[in-house]
Amino acid sequence: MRDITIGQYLSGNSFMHRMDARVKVLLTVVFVVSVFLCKNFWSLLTMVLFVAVFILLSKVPVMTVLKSIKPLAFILLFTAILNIFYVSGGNVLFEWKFIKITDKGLYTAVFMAIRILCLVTFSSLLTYTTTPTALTDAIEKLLSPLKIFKIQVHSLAMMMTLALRFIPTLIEEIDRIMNAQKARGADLETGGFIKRAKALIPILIPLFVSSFRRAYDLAFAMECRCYTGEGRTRMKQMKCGPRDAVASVLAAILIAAVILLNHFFEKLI
Amino acid sequence: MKETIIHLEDVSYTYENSEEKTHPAVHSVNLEVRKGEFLAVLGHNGSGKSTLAKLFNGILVPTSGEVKVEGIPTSDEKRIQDIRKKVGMVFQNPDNQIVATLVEDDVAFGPENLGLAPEEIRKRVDDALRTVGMYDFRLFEPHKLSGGQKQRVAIAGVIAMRTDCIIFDESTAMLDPKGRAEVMETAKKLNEEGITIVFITHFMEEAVQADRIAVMSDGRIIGIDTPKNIFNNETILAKAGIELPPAAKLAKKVRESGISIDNGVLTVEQCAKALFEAAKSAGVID
Repeated sequence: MRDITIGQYLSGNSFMHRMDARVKVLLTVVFVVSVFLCKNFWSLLTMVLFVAVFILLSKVPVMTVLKSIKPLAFILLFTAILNIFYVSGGNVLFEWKFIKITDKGLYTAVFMAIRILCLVTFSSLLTYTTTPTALTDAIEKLLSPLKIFKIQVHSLAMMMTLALRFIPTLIEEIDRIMNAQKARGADLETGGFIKRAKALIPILIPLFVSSFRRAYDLAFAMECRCYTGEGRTRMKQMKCGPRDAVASVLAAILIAAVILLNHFFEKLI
Repeated sequence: MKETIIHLEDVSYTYENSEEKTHPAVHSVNLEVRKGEFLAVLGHNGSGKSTLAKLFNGILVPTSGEVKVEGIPTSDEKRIQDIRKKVGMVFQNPDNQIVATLVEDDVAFGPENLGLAPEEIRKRVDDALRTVGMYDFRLFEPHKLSGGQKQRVAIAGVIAMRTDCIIFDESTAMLDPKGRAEVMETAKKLNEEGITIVFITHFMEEAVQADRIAVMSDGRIIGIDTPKNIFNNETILAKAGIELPPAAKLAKKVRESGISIDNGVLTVEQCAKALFEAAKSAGVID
């Protein structure tokens, strides 16, 4: 349970750490869009290069980046296998009864895998270099135009902050409840899928009850500190600097390169 | 007589969903918290001390009677923010009162709610963290701190709002002895700086360090006096089911065995000193 790395932040003072969080979020959005614009290996290669440049700029150790991919190994493998068997067309490389593998299928499989890798790596770079507070502040600022539709952007951002804040606390709590139930003779590890799922009920119910109590306490504590959700100021002001300009230019070049490469080379997908 | 900061007048509180409607958690309490004092509220579980704490800054509004903070009644919803700017609160569970994922961001939460300028918030946060001795931990994540450290962060969060009074609602109950000592030291330090402290606890060793102790039993305040007078009052102690602090117990036993010893002994230091004096006057040592 302890190796959950959602929203994990690595403190540092690199180029990417010092970028404005808003620009980083926008950059990630632009990146995700461009990944889906890629139509051949040449444009995909530019994406890989772009990721590599930002890994260097973030000074996050390559091993740490690779670790964030590990939980996705299954999904990667699964999509790759599906693509190999289901994509038809192109030259047949191997045929046996109903199984048919074509070169196009192989290409697509590899292409998809690289795409997913790019997406995961880049978005984990964002969380590695941005504190959860800065991230939610940035999202709040970027979504603030939605206020005209009467959407309570601030409340959404606050919910995100609190959710991130309580992940480690709840993990500790689950550990504690599991140990308590094991001490009472609960069997959590053996049996089939359904039996194990049923065994989780005595864990989840206490967790829910205690979460409600925590929510109640937290609401009191926030009220005591004059929280009303309105008229707040911020200690840390967000400022765009030269770094953000450089990153934006890089992003613009990226999109241009992807579109050009898509145009001049043969489309694969 | 010093000025009063919080004034409770014939205050009762009954929980709405409580099955025993006739049995209020807090029953006709009259209490004056004086400006600048260190008041301990002592009582065992279920004595109503935590409910009393929540009445001080308007988390709960009395069923009958009135709580006034510097003249503002807590029932006045329009002025509740003014009350909370004067009276801050530190709760029991350190995990359930920390809002942000970074120590300094959490301390900034209160001042941010007050709508202060960024530079002012920064200054207050740094000052508050230095006061509680957590400045070096400002960039830590709260869940990586010990219980006592988390509680000190929570205290810093209140200090940064510059309240005149801080209520400690059993803030030491979930801590280990080291954490308890840290919180108590911080509270005493703040009191020396002029902040009024109301310290709600069931630990005798903590209560004896206060200026005054209010003893609660069954929803009522059954005695309010200096620690020395409270712990020499057998009726109050018996009624509230309070045992003497260990050092006072020892002094009492010594006194009962016929050796004359000061009856104001409450802490370990005082006990050691009194025993030394007694031995000296008996000629055992010189």
